[in-house]
Amino acid sequence: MTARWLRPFVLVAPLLIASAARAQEAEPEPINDSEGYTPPPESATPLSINGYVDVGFAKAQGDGTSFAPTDTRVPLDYGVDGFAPAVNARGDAASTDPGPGRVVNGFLPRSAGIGGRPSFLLNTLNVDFKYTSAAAPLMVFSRVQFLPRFFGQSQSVDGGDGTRVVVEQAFGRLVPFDSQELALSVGKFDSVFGIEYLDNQANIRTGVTPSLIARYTTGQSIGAKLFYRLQIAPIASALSLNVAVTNSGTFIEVLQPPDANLTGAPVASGRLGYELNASALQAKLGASAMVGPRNDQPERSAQQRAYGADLRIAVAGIYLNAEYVRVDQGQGGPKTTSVGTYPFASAFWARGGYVQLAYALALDAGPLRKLTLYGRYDHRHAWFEGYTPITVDRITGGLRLDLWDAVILKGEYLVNRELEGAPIVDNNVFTSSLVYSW
Amino acid sequence: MRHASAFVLGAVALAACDAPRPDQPQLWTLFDVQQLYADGAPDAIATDAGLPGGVPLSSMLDPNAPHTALTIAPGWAEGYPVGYATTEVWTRFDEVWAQPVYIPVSGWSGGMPQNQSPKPIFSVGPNSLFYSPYWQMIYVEVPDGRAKSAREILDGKYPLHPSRGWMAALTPQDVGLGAPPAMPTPGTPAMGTGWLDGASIPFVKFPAASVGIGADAVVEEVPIFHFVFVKDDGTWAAPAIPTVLGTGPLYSNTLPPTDAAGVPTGAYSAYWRVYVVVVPFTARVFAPPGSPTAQALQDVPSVAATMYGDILSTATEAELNERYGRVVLDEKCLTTVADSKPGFGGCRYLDSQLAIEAAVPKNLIVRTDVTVTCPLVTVKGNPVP
Repeated sequence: MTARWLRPFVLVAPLLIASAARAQEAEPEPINDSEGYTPPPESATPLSINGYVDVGFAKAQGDGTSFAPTDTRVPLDYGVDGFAPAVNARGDAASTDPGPGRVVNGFLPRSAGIGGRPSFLLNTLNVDFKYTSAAAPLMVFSRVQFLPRFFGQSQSVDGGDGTRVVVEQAFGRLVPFDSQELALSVGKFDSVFGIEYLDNQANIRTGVTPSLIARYTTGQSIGAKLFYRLQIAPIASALSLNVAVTNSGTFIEVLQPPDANLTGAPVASGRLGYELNASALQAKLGASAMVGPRNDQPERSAQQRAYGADLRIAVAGIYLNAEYVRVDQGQGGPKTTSVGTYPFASAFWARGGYVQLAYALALDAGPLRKLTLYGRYDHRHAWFEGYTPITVDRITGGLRLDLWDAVILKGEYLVNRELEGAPIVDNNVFTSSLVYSW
Repeated sequence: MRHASAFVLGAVALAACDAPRPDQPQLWTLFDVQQLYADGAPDAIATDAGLPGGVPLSSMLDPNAPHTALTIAPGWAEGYPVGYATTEVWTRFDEVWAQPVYIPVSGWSGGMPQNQSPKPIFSVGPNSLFYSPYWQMIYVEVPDGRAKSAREILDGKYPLHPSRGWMAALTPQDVGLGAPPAMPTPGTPAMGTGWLDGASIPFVKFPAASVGIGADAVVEEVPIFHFVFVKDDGTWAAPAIPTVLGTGPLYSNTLPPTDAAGVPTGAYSAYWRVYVVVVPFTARVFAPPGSPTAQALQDVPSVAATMYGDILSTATEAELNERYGRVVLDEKCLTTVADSKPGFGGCRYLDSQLAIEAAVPKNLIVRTDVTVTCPLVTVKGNPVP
């Protein structure tokens, strides 16, 4: 049934490819190695306002969750992957409603509240303010997001309007030396772990939905960050170091609240990267780590550690992104997340990664500027202490059309599979996204 | 730049300061207790949650056996002597949850399961803090042996028939009821083997135990009362005298479980919240010198009764056993065997929830952060029916 939603994309793709009029060109270099997506610093005016609107349309199988209808284990979210049926760039699931009488323990994403029904969504209204001081090497950036949500008449979660306004980023960045790529940021900013945080925003992300490991690596937090990059021009290379101390590390906010430090001790994270910037080939390698107390509970002794490796290669319009992460969390006290309080924070382990391959074809066909076909394979193995380990994977395929310079249309299909431990459920997703930028 | 660096360094330095550490919830199963014995660890657990002295390991597994026999502890329920086992101890859990257990059956006829398998399929193991020995029994129509995990049951989409609550503690190999009482008869506590995630797992079941499962799978708790005495220095002493098993929430006047004829049964709750009862200063323990109970009072000998009238010289051994360890509100009643007969004479014993609530001020009945699984195995000296 869901395959019907794919037909327009399947039909239009060959036509668009046939009308390609100019050669492919390399995708612009990401400008956000240090603080996630921000506008370029060379703005003509001190203050600039940018943003985007992300409108989605999605349909998930089943009831929009990963819960098996007859599963009554406690807690329900320990035995499945509640993040699998994602519908937008924020990773919101079609639904997280466990239904009446079933218990969860705070290991769930935010919900789009659409269940298994096809629905339009206003995923994000994003507004960025950037001010560049003329008198000091200072840039101030803030990103405010409006997230309209509706949860209907659910019996097990708060129903009705669930709209939120989120200050996703707000920081000042000092670049003290003109001769050095050294920047110190203080405030709320993007993760420094891995590479997927670079794609957090819908107007940047190649596809629609984040990977199955994005929950561990792409969260914003409050603290201080230091970025340094050393260019090695003779070999067209650079080394970079990005380190941060923050309230909550790199988990997304729904798992660990970033806006307050619950343990009184910071979480350290960082990435060491190598870049090769040759004319025909761009390659980036990185190793990341995070260590500190988990910020979903009050015990400092409940430590969390994460290690990761990442790779990006861009050549001849082909883009390969790959990332692996390993997460270890100790048992903590009573659990507090951005969506509620729960009995306790169980010890937890996860190993996972993804490989994404995209082919971008530059075009000059009316408003069409670029066509990108992409696919991603995710694999995740995770377990809570004493609970059945689960292994899941996901196959994602999609198409992206860039129209003019201000509109992006994306559509993708997610095949979610429960390989071990978790009960098999119908939780595949078709989702799409129309992004207007200004 | 300097200011920013100072800000960062200051934040990190401040964060390094110690902050008060809240206490974590903890669960001890029979696996943990056996391991603690093996490690030579301290002889009590749950020592920091409001119960003086905590829960001795010996109250769970018999130290005289090779740590494989459940200890049967004495208590009072509605004035009757009872014996109970202790299989799990929790601290700082506001609630525990019933988990599904699947019982394979060959079919379903007339609202009844057919050919019930002796090997249940458990859904959550003892290493999880969400484990509990309280199970929501779900009969599943599947050939015995075809499914050995909760996932296989759910994936198979076999017909499910939810049933009542059931109490069965997962155990290490060979752990079970020792002797006495050895009662491997149908309907009484018995050992068995089931499945957990495809692996074999032993258990000991207590079919007579009542398991109340409320909203959101929360297991209903009932008070169990431990007596403490105030010593001369103001500290508390908690001698190993029999506890009192309640019937329902405090001051709820819940009736005790009885059979159709009104005879008390062993169908008490198995999940208890420990309350300490600070005994009134006039109260004394029936513990004549040389009695088994006197040994338990060696730390607080002053709380042993001293007036026994002619009881010690005229009572039979059975009559004495009926009184050992009972807390009497005023020992002046201990004059004759007849006058001191529990439930009939003039003595007010603190041997039931109702008696405690009537005689002890509310502020001296103190809720602890300790909950326990204590299924009854004997009532009035007889195996639970």
